[in-house]
Amino acid sequence: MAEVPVAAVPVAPGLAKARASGIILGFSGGAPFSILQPDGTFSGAGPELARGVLTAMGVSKFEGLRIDFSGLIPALLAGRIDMIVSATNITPARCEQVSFADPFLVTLNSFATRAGSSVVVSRFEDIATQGLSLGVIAGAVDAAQAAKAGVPQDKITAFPDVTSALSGLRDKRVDAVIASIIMLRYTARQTDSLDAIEFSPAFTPVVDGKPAVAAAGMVFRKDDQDFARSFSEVQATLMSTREALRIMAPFDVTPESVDEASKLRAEQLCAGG
Amino acid sequence: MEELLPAVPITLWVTGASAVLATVLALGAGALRLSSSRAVRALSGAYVEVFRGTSALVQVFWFFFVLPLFGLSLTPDQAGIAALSLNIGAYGAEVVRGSILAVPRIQWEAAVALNMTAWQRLRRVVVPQALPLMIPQAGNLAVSLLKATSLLSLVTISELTSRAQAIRERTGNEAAVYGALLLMYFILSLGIGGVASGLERRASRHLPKLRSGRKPTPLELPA
Repeated sequence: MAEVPVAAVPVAPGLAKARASGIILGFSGGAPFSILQPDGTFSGAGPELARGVLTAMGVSKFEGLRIDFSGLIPALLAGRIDMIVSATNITPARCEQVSFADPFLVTLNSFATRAGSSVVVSRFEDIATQGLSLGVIAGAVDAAQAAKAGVPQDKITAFPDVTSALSGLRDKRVDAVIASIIMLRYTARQTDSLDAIEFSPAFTPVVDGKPAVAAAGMVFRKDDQDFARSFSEVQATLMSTREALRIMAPFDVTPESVDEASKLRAEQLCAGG
Repeated sequence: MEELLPAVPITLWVTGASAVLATVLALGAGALRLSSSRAVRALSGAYVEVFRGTSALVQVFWFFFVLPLFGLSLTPDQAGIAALSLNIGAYGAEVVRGSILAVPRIQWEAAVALNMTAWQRLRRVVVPQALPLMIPQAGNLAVSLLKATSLLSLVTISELTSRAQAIRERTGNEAAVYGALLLMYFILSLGIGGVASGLERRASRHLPKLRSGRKPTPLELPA
């Protein structure tokens, strides 16, 4: 790993503490962005990139805690974890509660439907006009986006993770599931259900006339803003040297996904751009 | 199924630690509920009502997510055990109180006549007679406690349910995973039932057997 020159500014307290006594990384286990292995270790695109960046920043002790996606931000705010490293999309609403580092990948969404069913959807509006029921991941932005596009609340079912959402699809509890296409494909492959599922073409949802880009970044507490900024700088270096892509490629992350992310900044996404 | 086994010690540890704490709380609060001081009765009553009246899940979340915001940051283990002990302890306090009240009045009066202090009365006369009544109900609460530990899966403790969820998330095989989980909890609660029976026998050791062969409950003793 190349030595990254550290600017002559005072070290953020969060970073100093991490260097001294280690850091607790929170993740949801939503493969392949974060994966909890059977032996208790954790991996995945987010955790591996975080480890790479933090190691370059001088942090050597890592601990991981797996928490349901919707519980990650509360756990961060309560100090249970120091950072969220599974892919969390940067949204203005979340920015009011937490600090984001710059995005490290951009994903596209897709609707998963039962193979052979007559359901054809490519946008949230299709769900609304056809009166279908939609499965979303609890805590993810999709529920709000679906509601804005006209899908009624009683037609939206929140699942704790992608696996249970796909089970819900299989069991006909919902007609379609919306999530990142990478997560859907990976989980379908893991659970041997690729044959039973069809995926709509990958897309970026349009909300209020603007594309709601799904750009994921690492999450810090508000008082760790400086830590987040330093993290962004080191992460940018890894992204420009393609090291970030090398780290994340085994987890189905594409070059385009990283390239798109390197053009975006957390501040602009927080402001709604 | 084998993948669940490493989580069994953790479930047993949380159940055991909570059971011990809950017993202390139950005996304490149960006895205090019968205190002559109205203030003491009110305080212990408040504890019992609050922790019986709110859901265990919310209590666990509170200890894990909310207490740190007030400055008290317990580890996940501590938070989980504290919440469950307080919860089951509240139910246990009512069991203790009921059992003590079931000891015939004459035993109390005899102890007072013998100039025993309140502590001596409880420890040497009343509680030993109340114990055989308490234990079956305590056994029930212990089994409830075992099942309540599954709530701790939501606050990062890697016990049985948490492990089962992780396996299920990875493989999608709900039938096998949840079937194995049910079986594990069943086996563990049978174990707890066995321990409760053993304790019941020990607590009735000092009583002579009735003609039918079983030990009498305190209500059947000559007043």
